[in-house]
Amino acid sequence: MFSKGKQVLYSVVDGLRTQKKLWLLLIVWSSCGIWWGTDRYIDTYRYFYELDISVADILILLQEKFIFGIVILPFAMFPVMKCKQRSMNTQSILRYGGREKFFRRQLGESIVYAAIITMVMIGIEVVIAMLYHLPLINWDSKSSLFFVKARCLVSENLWTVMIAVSLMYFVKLLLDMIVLDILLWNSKYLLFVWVLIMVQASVYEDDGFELFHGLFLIQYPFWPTPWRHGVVLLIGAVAAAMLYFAGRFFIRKKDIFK
Amino acid sequence: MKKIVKEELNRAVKNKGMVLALTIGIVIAVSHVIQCIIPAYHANEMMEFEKFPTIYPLTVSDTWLAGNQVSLESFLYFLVLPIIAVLPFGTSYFADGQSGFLRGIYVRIPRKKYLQAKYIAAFISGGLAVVLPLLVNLMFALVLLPNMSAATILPCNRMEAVNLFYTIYDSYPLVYIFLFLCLDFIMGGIFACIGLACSYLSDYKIIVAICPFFIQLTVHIIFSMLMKMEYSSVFFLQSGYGISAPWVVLLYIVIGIGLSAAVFLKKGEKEDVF
Repeated sequence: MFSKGKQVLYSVVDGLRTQKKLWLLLIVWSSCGIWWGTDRYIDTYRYFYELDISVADILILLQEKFIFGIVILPFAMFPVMKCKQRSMNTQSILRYGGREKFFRRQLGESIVYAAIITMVMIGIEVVIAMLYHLPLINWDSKSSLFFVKARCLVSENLWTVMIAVSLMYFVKLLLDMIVLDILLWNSKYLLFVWVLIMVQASVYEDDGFELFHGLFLIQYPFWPTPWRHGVVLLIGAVAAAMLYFAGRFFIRKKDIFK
Repeated sequence: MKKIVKEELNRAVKNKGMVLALTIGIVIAVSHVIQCIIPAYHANEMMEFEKFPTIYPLTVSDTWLAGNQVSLESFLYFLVLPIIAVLPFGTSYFADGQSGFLRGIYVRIPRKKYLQAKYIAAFISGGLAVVLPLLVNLMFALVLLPNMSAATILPCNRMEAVNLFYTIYDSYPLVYIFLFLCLDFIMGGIFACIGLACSYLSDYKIIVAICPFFIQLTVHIIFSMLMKMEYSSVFFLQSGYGISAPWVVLLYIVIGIGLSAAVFLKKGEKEDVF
């Protein structure tokens, strides 16, 4: 018998293998969206504003609602749902000896799926940006987009930006996947995952109060004060914990034989 | 045939899916009233029309849910429109197959008649689920705002003289709104019927239900990327955005009805349910 961590990992690998066509389709679709977004941003900033743009800038800019919220997120949730739906049956829940243990396993799978999708998306973004022969990072130059937006110069490396943006993607994906995990227990309402994703993509700043895609993102002005991004991540962690406890409460008395 | 259609319509309108669809739609419609229509009413009250005769009040046709495409609720409503349309009866054929209802009904009546009745009932239920929340919003707008020609100089929406039915919009705004409600009804019906046609795609109900949404989303994203927003149903279904390419709307209707009917009726007749 494998350890719990290995079980989760093997389950995810199995999901990736069985739904490989869907995952491939997601990669192709996301690549098209990312390529379109990159092209548009290069046009806007390099040719219109005549600013030097780098791979790191592309990572920051592609966090926008249309690319991540509408082009990537709704489509990414579909293969995840398909993979998870297979393991959601009475036998599996009985084998785990309890609803809560099974829910924790679902959460573990969500963490792995969110991490994989994040890494793949960041990888695609970096590769596509590099195809345009952009410098990796130029935030120490006065002609950079970073200087115009943040009003300061910093010497960073691309890895730091990649990790920061990845964390934001991860939080967004994980929050939606926990909602998916909860609704998988009552598949009648599973459609609400996509309604929620569309609500997240539609809401905008209201009286300075940012929500979801406006909140969980790396912003140029906050870069010199990283604790602000830390607070945002903390909000994400608290929201994930709250969703987890709400899910535990929701499934507490769920009839698994129906 | 009439009896089956009546029976199916009864099932289509009186079910939990319809309640759920109307709940989603009405929540969006009422939040639009709170976010946009009530502030527009207060703005009209504050305007000093006698002092500044050039000011134009906010009207029903440029403020209601489908009349002003810049509000969050308008965008959201037309983005989730396929989900609202599918919820009442779009997955009913799949559910009937799973529950064994199809086997029972096929030994009593001809398949063709049942499938046609199912198609008609799904079309009407999808249309109703989409139009009723819009009507609720329109009623609020009619109560709180003046029903007069919208501003032509500095308009609040995307209506332009080149758009289809612009003269009607300018002279009889309610007639123009009614025309768009009819178009929304048809598109709602089409999305519900696409759900029926997708019943053969998967063994999972959720996949059948989500198909029309993904079809619209994919088309919307592709046209947005090509900068051809007027070709996306998320926009052309809104009276405030208008129709600048009528042939696209016609194409949507012809392909939507034609393809969904052809797939659903032809495959349904051949499918082995026993």
